Amino acid sequence: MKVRHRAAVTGAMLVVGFMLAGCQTDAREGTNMTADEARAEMLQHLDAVTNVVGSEWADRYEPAKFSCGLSQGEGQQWTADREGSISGAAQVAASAVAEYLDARGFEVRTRENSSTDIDVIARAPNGLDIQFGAVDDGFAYVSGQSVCVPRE
Amino acid sequence: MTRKLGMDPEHVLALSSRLTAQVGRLDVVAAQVDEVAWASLNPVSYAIQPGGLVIAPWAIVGTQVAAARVRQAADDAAVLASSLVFQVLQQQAASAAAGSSPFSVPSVRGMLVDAVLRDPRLLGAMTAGQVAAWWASLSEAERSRLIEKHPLLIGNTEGVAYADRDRANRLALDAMLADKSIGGGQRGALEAIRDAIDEAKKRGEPVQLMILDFPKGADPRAAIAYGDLDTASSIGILVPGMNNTVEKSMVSLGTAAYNLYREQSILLAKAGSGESPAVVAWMGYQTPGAFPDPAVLREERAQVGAGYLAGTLGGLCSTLGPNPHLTVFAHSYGTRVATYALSEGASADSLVMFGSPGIAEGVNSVTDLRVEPGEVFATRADADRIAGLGLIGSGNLDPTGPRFGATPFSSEGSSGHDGVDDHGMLLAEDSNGKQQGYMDSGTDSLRDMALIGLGRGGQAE
Repeated sequence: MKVRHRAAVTGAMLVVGFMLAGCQTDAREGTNMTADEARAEMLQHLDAVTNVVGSEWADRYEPAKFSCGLSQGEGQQWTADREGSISGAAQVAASAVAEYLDARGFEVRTRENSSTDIDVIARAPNGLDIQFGAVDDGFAYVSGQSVCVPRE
Repeated sequence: MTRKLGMDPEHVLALSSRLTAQVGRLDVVAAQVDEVAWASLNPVSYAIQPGGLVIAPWAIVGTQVAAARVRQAADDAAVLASSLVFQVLQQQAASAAAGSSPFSVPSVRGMLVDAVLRDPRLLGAMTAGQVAAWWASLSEAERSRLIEKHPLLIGNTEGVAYADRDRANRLALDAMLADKSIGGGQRGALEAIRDAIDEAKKRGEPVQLMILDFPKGADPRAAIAYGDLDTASSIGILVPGMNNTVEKSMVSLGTAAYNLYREQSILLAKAGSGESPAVVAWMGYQTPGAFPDPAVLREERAQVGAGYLAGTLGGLCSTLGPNPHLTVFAHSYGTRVATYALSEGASADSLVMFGSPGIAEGVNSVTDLRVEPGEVFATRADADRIAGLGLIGSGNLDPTGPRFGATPFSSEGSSGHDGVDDHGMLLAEDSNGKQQGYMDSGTDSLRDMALIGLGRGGQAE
C-alpha cells in the first residue's frame, strides 16, 4: 500500500525551529532502546528530511521490521524507504538535508555522483542510518535503517 | 535449408554405447548378488545380535549396494531412453513441418507434453535451448498441467520461463512445508527460503523462487531473485563464499541481493529509465566451512559449484537471449566457483570479485575468462583480514593484483562509515561496534557494483 506524504508548511517550520534550536539526537546506546523507540526515531528523521526537501513522497513499502546482528545475538531493526521528486537543484536539497542531519549529530557524507546527482549518507552515533539522494528536477529518495535492538 | 530425416548416426552410436555400458553395470551387479548368495551359505557370514537376532552383515551391505547400483543404472537407462524418444519426436516434427521450430506442430507439441507428464526425465534429454523453445510454444493450460504434475522438476529445469519456475517451486515449497514428515536440516532450509520470500514481500518487491533443489547427499540448493528475471534489463547473480547454507544464509543473502537491486533501481530511476534490474541470491552450491574445514583449502566444492553456476548462466542465456546484461558477483570462496565456471564454458557480460582469497587454479589472467573485454572487476578492503590471510603463502592468485588484469575499484570509502571494514557481505556487530560489509547500503563498493551490473562499469571508482 502506498501512503502519500505531503510536506506541510507547518512541518517544515517545526523542522526549521528544531534546527535553529540546535536539537541533537539522543545519543543513547541503541541496545537500550525498544523496537518501538527505534522505529519512532527513524521515522521522525525521515519525516523531517522529507519536510526539509518539500514536494510529495510515497512509501515504497510500509515501514518493516527485519532481523539484524548484534554482538550478543540476533536483533531487530526497522527500515523504511520513500520516493518522490524534487524541483530545482539536487545540490540545494542535499545541502539542506546534510545540514539538518549534521545539526543532529549524524556523521554526514555528501557523495557527488555528478553535478546533478547527489547522495547524502548519514549515520547517527547510535547507529541509525539515513540516506538521501536526488537528481536535478527529478527523482529523489530517502531511506532509513533504525538502530539494531535486541529482540523483545 | 536441408533437414536430416533419420537419426544422426553418430548420436545413435553414442547412445548405444552408453546403453551398453549400463547393461555392463547390471552384469556387475548380478555378479555381486551371486557372490552374496554364495556367502550366505557360509556359517561365518552370520552374527548374533543381543537378544538372539541372527543377522548377516556382509550380505545386508552387499545387497544394499547392489540394489543402489541397480536403481542408478535403471535411472540412467530411463534418461537415455527418454533421449531417444525426444530424438524421435524431433524427427517427426522435422518431417511434418517446414518451419524452423519442431514445436509449431500442435500434435508433436502435445505428444511431448504427454511424454513429459508420463516420464519427466525426458526433460533431462533436452538442452536448455530446446526446453525454452518448447516451453514458449505451450498454452497456459499445458504449462499448468506440467507444473501441477511435476512442480519440483519444472521449477528447476533450465529453459522454462522464470515466472513459471517460480510458480512451480512455490507449489513445491508449500507442499513440503505442509509435510510434517520433513524435519531436521531440510525443514530448516525450507523455512529459511519461506522467510527470505516473506522479507521480500515486506519490502513490497517482486521476488521469484528460481531454484529449489535437494540433491542426494549434499546441502539443499536454492536461489531467490529480486525483480522479474523474464523482463529485467540486467541480471546479477550473487555467489556466496564459505560457511554458508540455505538454512543459515538464505535470508541474509536475500538482503544483500535486495541492497544491490535497490541501488540499481535508484540508479535507473535517477536516469529516468523505465528499465528494471533483477538480482539473484544464489545459494546454489555446497560451500565449504570456514577454516579449519579442509574443504576450504581444496578445489572440489568450487568445481562442483562451478557446474551448477554454469547451468544457471547457460539457462539464463538460453531462456532470455543475449539482451539482459548478465553479471556474476562473487564473494570470497565464491570467486573460485565463478572463475572455474567462467573459464570452463560458461560466459557472462561482467564479473565482479570481492573479498577474494584466491581464484581457480589455472586461471592466470582475465583473458582466461569468458567475460566481455574490460568487464572483470575486483576489490578487496584493506581491513578484510580473512581474504588477506587466504592469499598469504597459499600461492593463490589475487584478482586485485596487477598481473591478473582486472579493473580495480575501491571498497574503502571516503569517510568513517562508508568504507568496508570486514570480510562479510553485510554489516555485522562485534565488540568493536558496527563493521561494514561489501554490500551494505551506503557503501561505495555497493554503488560501484550496482553500476557494473548495469553495464556502466566505466563510472565505478
